[in-house]
Amino acid sequence: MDSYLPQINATVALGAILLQLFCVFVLLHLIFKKNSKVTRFVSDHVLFLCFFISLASVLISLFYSNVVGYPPCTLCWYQRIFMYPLALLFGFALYKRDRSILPFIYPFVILGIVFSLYHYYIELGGSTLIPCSSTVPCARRYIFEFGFITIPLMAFTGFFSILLGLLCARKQSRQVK
Amino acid sequence: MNAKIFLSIVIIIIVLGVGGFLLTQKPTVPGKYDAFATCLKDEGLKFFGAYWCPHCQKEKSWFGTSADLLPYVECWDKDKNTQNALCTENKIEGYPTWILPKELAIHSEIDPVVCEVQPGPEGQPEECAVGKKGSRYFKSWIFPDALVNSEKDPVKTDGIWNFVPGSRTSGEISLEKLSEYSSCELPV
Repeated sequence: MDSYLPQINATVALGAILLQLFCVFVLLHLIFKKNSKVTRFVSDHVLFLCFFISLASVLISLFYSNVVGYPPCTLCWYQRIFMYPLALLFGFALYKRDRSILPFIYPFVILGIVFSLYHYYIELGGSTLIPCSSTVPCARRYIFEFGFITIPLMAFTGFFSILLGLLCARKQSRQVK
Repeated sequence: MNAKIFLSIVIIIIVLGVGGFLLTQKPTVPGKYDAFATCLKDEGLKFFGAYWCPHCQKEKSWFGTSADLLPYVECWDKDKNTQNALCTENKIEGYPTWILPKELAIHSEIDPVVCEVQPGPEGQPEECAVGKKGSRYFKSWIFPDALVNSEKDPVKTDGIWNFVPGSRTSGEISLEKLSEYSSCELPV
């Protein structure tokens, strides 16, 4: 598996970048356009899109911990706590076609965003002269693609895209009322 | 409609996979630092690191595609989640660590902060602690742009500290410094 890891890392990182670009696109429509087709599309398919993003996040994190063998750190576990239930919740909501679940998702994604941003901040910090100690764990960075994509940034992208989906659905439901 | 989105996602994943594969293909043209990295290896320098260490990743990134030619030693046992025996035997305490087989000359106008072998005597600077810049096996000399560990004290002459062969540096070292610490020349 290790021999294919660079290709897999690059593919996952490209996916994260694509999702980030899509988030910027949706965010601009959400802020500046009143009756945007983009936000309506996201709102109409919010359960499916959020289910896909959360499931992909779960599978990617399990792949890195259980297949590749990267041990999850404490902060990684906190992010998992807030992402893993979302795949189940969105999956069940999609099956039942029940959008009433959406307001309950906010605490998960907001806390997930806080932890992933904090983790990313820690990964970027540190003096260049102080080496990573072999005994005292420092910020471990398992993946570093294209000079900025790391696992916590991927987690942030996942949480933020779900948050945008929720906001699009909220905006759409308000406009309908 | 969800089927259309699903199909679109499948197509996107395939495109991303092809993109990821193409981006990670090794170039057929030689890297800019191939000769420099090979020279470091031939001179007997050793670069100890861990796959998860951001400083090591940065150090390797400076070499670009020539990083594969570096005398890199992976110190982390992924299965046991601890340092491997090879690096423990070499008394590696932090990553990256470069072990220099020849005499190391550090030019510095400023006197370094010196840390005794840890745990040292009371009243030493806080930065001498193990996990920061101190060592359990060696004395440490903290220069403004280098951290050197050595078994023996350096000989100072005219602002140059000469360390015995086998001394080691910890933390990131720029390519210019690596060139200075070896006989290898950087490409123009």
